[in-house]
Parts: sequence; C-alpha cells; structure tokens
Amino acid sequence: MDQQYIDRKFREKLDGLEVNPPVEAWLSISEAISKPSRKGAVPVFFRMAAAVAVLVVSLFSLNFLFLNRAGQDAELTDWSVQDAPLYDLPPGPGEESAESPTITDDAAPVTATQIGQPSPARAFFSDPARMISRDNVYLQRTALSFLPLRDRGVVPTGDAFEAWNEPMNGSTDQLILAAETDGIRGNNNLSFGAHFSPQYNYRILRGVSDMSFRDIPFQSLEERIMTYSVGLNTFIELSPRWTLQAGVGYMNMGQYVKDIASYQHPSRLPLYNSNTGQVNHPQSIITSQGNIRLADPHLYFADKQSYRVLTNRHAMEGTDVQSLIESQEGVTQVFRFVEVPVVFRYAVFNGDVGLRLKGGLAASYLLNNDVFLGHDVMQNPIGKTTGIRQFNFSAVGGFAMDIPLTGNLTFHLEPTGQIFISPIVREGVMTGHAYPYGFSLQTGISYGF
Amino acid sequence: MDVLKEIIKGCLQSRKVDQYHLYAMYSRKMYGICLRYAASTDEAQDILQEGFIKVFKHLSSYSGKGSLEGWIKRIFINTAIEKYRERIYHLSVDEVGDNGEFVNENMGVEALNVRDILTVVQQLPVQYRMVFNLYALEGYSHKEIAEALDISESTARSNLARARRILKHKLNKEFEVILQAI
Repeated sequence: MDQQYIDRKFREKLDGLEVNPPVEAWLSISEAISKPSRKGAVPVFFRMAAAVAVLVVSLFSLNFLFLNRAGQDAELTDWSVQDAPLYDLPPGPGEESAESPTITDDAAPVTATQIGQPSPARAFFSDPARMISRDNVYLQRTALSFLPLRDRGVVPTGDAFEAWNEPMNGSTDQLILAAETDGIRGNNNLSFGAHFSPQYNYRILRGVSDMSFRDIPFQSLEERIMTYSVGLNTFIELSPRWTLQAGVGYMNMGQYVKDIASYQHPSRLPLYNSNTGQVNHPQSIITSQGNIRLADPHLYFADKQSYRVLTNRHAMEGTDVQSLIESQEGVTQVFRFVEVPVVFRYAVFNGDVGLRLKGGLAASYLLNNDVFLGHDVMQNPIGKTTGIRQFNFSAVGGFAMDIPLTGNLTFHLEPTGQIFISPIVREGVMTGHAYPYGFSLQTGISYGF
Repeated sequence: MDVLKEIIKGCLQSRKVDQYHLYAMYSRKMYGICLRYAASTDEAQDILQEGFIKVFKHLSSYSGKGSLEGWIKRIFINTAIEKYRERIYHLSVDEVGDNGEFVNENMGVEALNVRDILTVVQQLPVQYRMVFNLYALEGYSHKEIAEALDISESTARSNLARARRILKHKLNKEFEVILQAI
C-alpha cells in the first residue's frame, strides 16, 4: 500500500476541520485574559468577611464599653447627669425645698463640655435628649454617688450624702415608668433569633449586553419564581435607636425560563451515550443568568421563541428527533447561597410594637445550583448553570415590626427587599449583566438577654 | 480586511467585544486542530484555552504581514507541542501489534466520516499522534519534528511508520464494524 495514501486521505478529511467549541470555552478564556494574575492575593470574599468580622467585634466592644461600664466611667456618668432634666433630686439634709439641689442647679458646671464630651460613636448612635431606659436610669443613679461629682459639690458628702441619696432608691420604679411612658421602651443589649422568609425573586438586566448575543429578548422569555430563605441572626443594641444585626442565612434565588420545549423517547430511552460514566449532553441553553449545561440523557430541547438552545450537531448525529414526544415546557434555574448580612436597624417607633427601618449589606457565597424541568423544583435536576459568580454582594433594606411576646421573646415581621450590587453572571458570559433582586416577608422570633 | 484590523486594534485595547469577535472567527478551526492533537475533548479544550490566551497576550507581535489565521494556527500547534512536552511519557510501543489485515485498503478511509477519522487519530499513542499530525497534516520535515519534539530524526521516521501502521489497523477494524452494520 502506498505509504502516502493514508497521509493524503487523513489530510483530506481532517485539514480545515471545523468544530464548535463548547459554550463555556469562551467563558474560561475571557476570564483568563481579563484578570491579571495576582499570586498571593487574598480572595475578595475573605477580605470582606474579615472586614465584617472586625466591624461586628468593634461595634460589640463599643456597645459593651459604653453601656455596661458606664457606672465606672466618670465621663459617661457626668454626661448622663448633664442630660437628665426629667426629674428633680430630693432635697438634701438641711436644705430647703425651694433650693433643692437639682441636677440642673448645682450641676450646672457639670456638663459634657466641661467634663468631657461623649465620644463621637456614642453621640452618633444616641439621642441624648431621649436617653431614658433601664440602663440609663442606672447611669443616672450611679452618677450621683460617684466621687468626682461630690468633689465638685454637685451632691452632698459624708452622712449628708447618705441621707440625701436614700430617697433616690425609692424613686427608681417611678423613673423607669417615666422612661417607658415617654415612648421609648427599654431593650435587651443582645438578642438571638431565627427567621424564615417566603421570597419572590427576579432580576434586573443591564447592558444586555456588550456581546448582544443574538438579540435574544430575555426580558420576555423569563419569569419570576417564589423561593424561600432561612437564617440565624444576632441583634446587638448600640443605643435605644440603633441596632446592629448580623448573622448567617441560606437563600434561594432563581428564575423560570419559558418557551423551551423538551422532548423524550416514548419509552424513556436515553438519547445520548455516556462517556466514562458522564453524560455528554450535546445541548446548552443560554439565559440571562448564565448558561445551562444539560445533563439528562433522556431529554432533547428546542426553543419555541428564540435561539437560546445551542446544539452541537456533531454530537447529535444518529438521534431521530422526529420520533420523540413532547414533555414538560420550560426550565427553572435555582441558585443556592449562604449569606452573611450586616444590617443596621433604626427605631422609628419604640412602643409596645416597635417599628424599625433597616438597611445594610450581605455577602453571598454560591453553594450550588440546579436546573429543573418545568416548574417542579422537587424532582431530579436536569443540569446546572455555568457562568455564575461564586461570590456576590447585595444591598438589603426594609421595615421591621418587633412585637413583644412573653418574657424575652420578640416576634419579628419584616418586609424586606434585597438586590445584588454585583452582577450574578461572571464577566465574559455572553448574556450581559443580571442583578437578581427579591422581596420577602421575613418572619422570625428572637430571644433577648 | 479593515474590519479585521479594527478587531485587532480593539483586542490590543482589551475590548471584550473585539476579543469575542476574534474568538468567534477562529475558534471553530482552532478547536478542530486541538482535537487532532489531543486524546480527548477535555485535553482539546485545554489547548484551545491556552492557545487563545497566548493569541491575545502576544497579538501585539503580529506584524500584519501574512495571514492572521496562519499566525494563530502556528501558536496553536506550538501550544499542542508544549502540552505534549509537559506530559511526555514513555510508550510501550511493543504493545502495538502489527497484525492488521486490511480488508480493502482503499475503502477504509473513504467510508468513514470525519468523526470516526478523528477518533482514530485521537486513539494514537501521544508521540505517534504528534509526529503524524506534524508530518502528514502540517507538512513538517522529519528534522523539524525532531527539533520540536526533542527526539532524533530516526525516531521521528520510526514513529511515523508505526503511526501509519496503527491507523491502518484501526481503520480496518472500524471498516469491519461498518460492513457488519450494513
């Protein structure tokens, strides 16, 4: 046999061979060329997590220092005295009632300005004029027995002080009562809670896209779905108005991709061979939130409205599409995240039922994702979405109603909105930037310590 | 031609759209080359990715003279050679027998489709596959192959002869399967 014959025939067959590379090949290349390698760089998520941890610890420490150590802190006690015009001290021995040593009389020199300004953090989180709570009453009382004040002549000394201070104890309940009827209710410094949220979620599309992939009208071909999230929270009271909420949650998001027809063999036979145990499904579906890599060997897909289903024709040789029967329509993408929210809550009204505004940020880590046939997310998944960012950040905001139950338990009802501030789709995926958002009604219970 | 220049200019400015256009223009052909040099689609994708990264990284060194496709193709072949060098291993050549009986030596290749031909090439031992691709499809001389793969010329000749023998044997078996199916 001519040795050159086989070379020539192979050259004829293979020279100029063109094969469609997999959809995700460009994704990998695009990522690799758009990001300069930074060896040793700390991943963004861990930097954010470290920042959040430092923030939480710092705020907790501040909270501890300002509220719990107030009785030992001269400046703080002076500050609280200066801002306590709500009651008169009883007259001291040998003093006439008309010249009662109220705080505002002899205490006039004792002001925050003269003795020491409240720290910027305390000033920010507190509203001094309404600084009345159980803690604050404690502050006011301890102020009266603190040495520097006596030295300054604010209160009597020695036996005179003991006699003068005696009635003060009896007035505590009245003070607390006064504080509570003033509309500001005392809170626990630290609470733990859990929540469950039914969630309606969808996404905003921006810049669809710098690739403008086939001009597919994603907006009209995808729909919102209902999912849920659960979480554990810690509430740290920074002041009667401000509370810091941090915790960890498990969140589901996703969307329904409609007008995708699916077909299968009448006898449910597999349509594609498996290669080393892994199904080599020849189809992908493009969505605004990544590309779906299909894995169920029993299904063949077709797009009824657009060009979202990509089929490797080379791999489809031998499949008789005409003999298939139509199955369910559409597919549902579900993304599962673990998230760490850091949220500030501001008390608009702090009566029996508290009303708070809340806002903050959440860092989300993609745990996994699945694609399901039709709307049924309880059945076996048929594939996965590729091109989704592992780490995402979102903004959180809403209202919170705190309804006290028995003891230290509080019920929370919180209409909440959340939107991703980073696009969920990785750079380089052809379908542009999608920013998922969700509206949820968080319901939960917390226990205060 | 002006369009291609604009695309190259955009790529040099790291414009994503132009990078994608360049990829879309040449990815099918280059993936075909990758599949010839690789033993599997995963390996072919690795070569494709590495090759295009090099193309975008070194595009500024493309002078504009000569075919861009030829320049890119050369990068991909060199990438495949580099990959081969990275994972070079000793072959148990003796395991490959020479007992193929060609039923109809002129019908085998004709009857097979591209997919089968590609599969047969991919099943060649890695060194034989490299030599066969470089000699039969790229037109390299034995001397050039010897330099590229860091082997002697006589080894290159021997590898080519064995590659042809294995291909004949495999084509024979494939062709028998086709005949039985008919």
